[in-house]
Amino acid sequence: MAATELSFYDRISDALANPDGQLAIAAGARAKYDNRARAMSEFPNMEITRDRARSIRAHTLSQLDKFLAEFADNVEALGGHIFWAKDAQECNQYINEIARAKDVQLVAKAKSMLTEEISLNQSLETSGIDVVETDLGEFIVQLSGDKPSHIIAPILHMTREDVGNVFKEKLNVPFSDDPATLNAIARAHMREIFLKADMGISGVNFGVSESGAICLVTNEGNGRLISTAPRIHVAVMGMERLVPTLADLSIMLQLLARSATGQKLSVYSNILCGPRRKNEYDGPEELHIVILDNGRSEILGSTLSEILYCIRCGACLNACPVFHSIGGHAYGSVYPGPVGSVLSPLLFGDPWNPLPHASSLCGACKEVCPVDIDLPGLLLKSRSQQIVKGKSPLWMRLSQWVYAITSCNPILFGLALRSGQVVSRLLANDGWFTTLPGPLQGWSIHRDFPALAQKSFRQLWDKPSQD
Amino acid sequence: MKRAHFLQKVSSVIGNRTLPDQDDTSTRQNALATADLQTLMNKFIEEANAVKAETHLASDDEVALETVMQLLNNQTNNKYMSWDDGCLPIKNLEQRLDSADYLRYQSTVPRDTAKRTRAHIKLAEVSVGITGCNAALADTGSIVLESKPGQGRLSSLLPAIHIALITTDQIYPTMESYIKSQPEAGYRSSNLIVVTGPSRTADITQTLTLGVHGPGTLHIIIIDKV
Ligand code: SF4
Repeated sequence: MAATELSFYDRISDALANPDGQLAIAAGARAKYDNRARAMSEFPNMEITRDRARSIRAHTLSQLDKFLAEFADNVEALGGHIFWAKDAQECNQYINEIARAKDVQLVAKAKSMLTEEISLNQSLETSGIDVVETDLGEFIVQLSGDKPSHIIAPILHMTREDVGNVFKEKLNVPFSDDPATLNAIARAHMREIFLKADMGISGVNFGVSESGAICLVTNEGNGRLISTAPRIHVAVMGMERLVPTLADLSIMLQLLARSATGQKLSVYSNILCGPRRKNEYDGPEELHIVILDNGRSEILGSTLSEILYCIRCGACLNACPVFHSIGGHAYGSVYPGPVGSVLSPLLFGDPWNPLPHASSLCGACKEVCPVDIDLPGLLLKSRSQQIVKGKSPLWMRLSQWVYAITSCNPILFGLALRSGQVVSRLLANDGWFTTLPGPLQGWSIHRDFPALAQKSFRQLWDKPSQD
Repeated sequence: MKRAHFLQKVSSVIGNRTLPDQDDTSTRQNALATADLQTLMNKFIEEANAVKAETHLASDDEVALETVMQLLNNQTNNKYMSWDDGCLPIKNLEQRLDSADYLRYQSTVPRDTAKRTRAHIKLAEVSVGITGCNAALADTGSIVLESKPGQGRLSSLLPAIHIALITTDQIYPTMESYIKSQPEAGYRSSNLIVVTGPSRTADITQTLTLGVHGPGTLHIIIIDKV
């Protein structure tokens, strides 16, 4: 993924300057947050199930090589093809090659953050292949040339008027802001694409090692259509997405649905086991599963490997007060919110280093995570690794250096304190700074800053007052 | 990349990490696990209705057939597709619908590319799909369908209306209990699909809309077989 031209801080300013978008995001995320809370509270033995899910993920990752080998053997035994892709380029090239060899003109795609991560659409389009996103939200994103702003709800940032205008402009239909009407237009438009597409491309929610099955979860049914109608189905799977058994899968599916949208199960939990078999009436003639590393093995070997437990439910985004304010786009990554702040610097490199700093570490994300990932802990680790590697911003390194020297030297510390008190006496108003100079202004625009007390704790300690 | 290289890289980062064992005692207990049939059925109906599936009770095959006829009667077009007769829980559905002038579309899709697309386009004219099911889950109001010879995937997917015929003895308490008693269901066919309500989206401003790409209406006819 390429870095965007604007800095993180500029993107945040842009987001904050768009009150409509901000309201839409905050309302949407809160509604999802409430739905999750309700669904979880009704779940028998929720905490036990969550612990179990976490232990399934930990167990799988600790023997990932073994489970990957078992999965691949089973897929091949069912007549599916496995391709091992080191990175985005190998993956995209492989899919392009199949498309060329099989004379593919039209691709119908189900929502997949992983294919966004590797810019698969652009790669296929450069080869002259038509790629149509079939998830309603992703379709609207594609029509408007926008980017998804949430891993589960791609158009969380759009109002219904926005969607009406996109349809009017791009599909030549009369303006409507009624979701049912807009949905009917999209259904009719997309029908033909499903029926004519030569290839369906999807991500994978979970792969099941014991059987070689892959599971696609959708509410709309597009995941079923693209894995049934086109003659070729290509599924791109992040290498960490396995569960050992079907029983494990059933636990994950329930947690995923409840955490993502508050449903007990998503409408379609679609378990696919190889291509169409002899005497079956329909289904794809060919199934290709690409297992993608793209930086994941490095993460697996790092102290941040816990982030690979993630099942992409989006609950941590919905719980995050920072996400509520700045929305998904400001993160500049396909993975926004708390999970994205940990993942993006690991997957995409230094330009995403500011992301882990945009958190107050309030812990709301950890509380809702269905596999109990210690997101605040990972954010802290990520920050401290940046500092150890000398990758924190210059001003921060300088100020930490100055603070380290001053605080280790009683004379310097006393001097600094004294000058702070003098400045406070001269500039503060009734014990508060109402404006601060230079870069500190950002603080004082919205709130006052307390002045230093005229007597420090140490001074009080040395000379306790009479009363 | 070669499989061996890929896996070698993964092995090397995992090293000799001690593996956290799975604790099987923590499997979820569910009050439904020991419930009687009536309780299961009530729960199934309650949950299916909660996700906006429409449920119909049928005391025997004949009532079930009549219900199907009524549902078809409300349709403007007389075309339907379905699982083969032998795969449905009631007998002679095709024959009965035939004599009432309903037209069954052949749902076997040819393997040849050009013919395949033509078959799809023809099937898109159909407005109702009729299937049986392989299991139903009380806990979530779901139905479970397997693709097999005679049981195509498209019948429950392409038409705007899906009618599923299930029998009371097919109802399991939970997904876990179903998998436990039918472990081979996960691989004996190319597709196992768990359907929980009609197709839906809330993408546009979190407003629930039914029938995006899959059927927007799901009728479940529950036939008493006990
Ligand atoms: S980190 Fe946890 S809460 Fe966030 S998307 Fe992943 S699984 Fe969901």
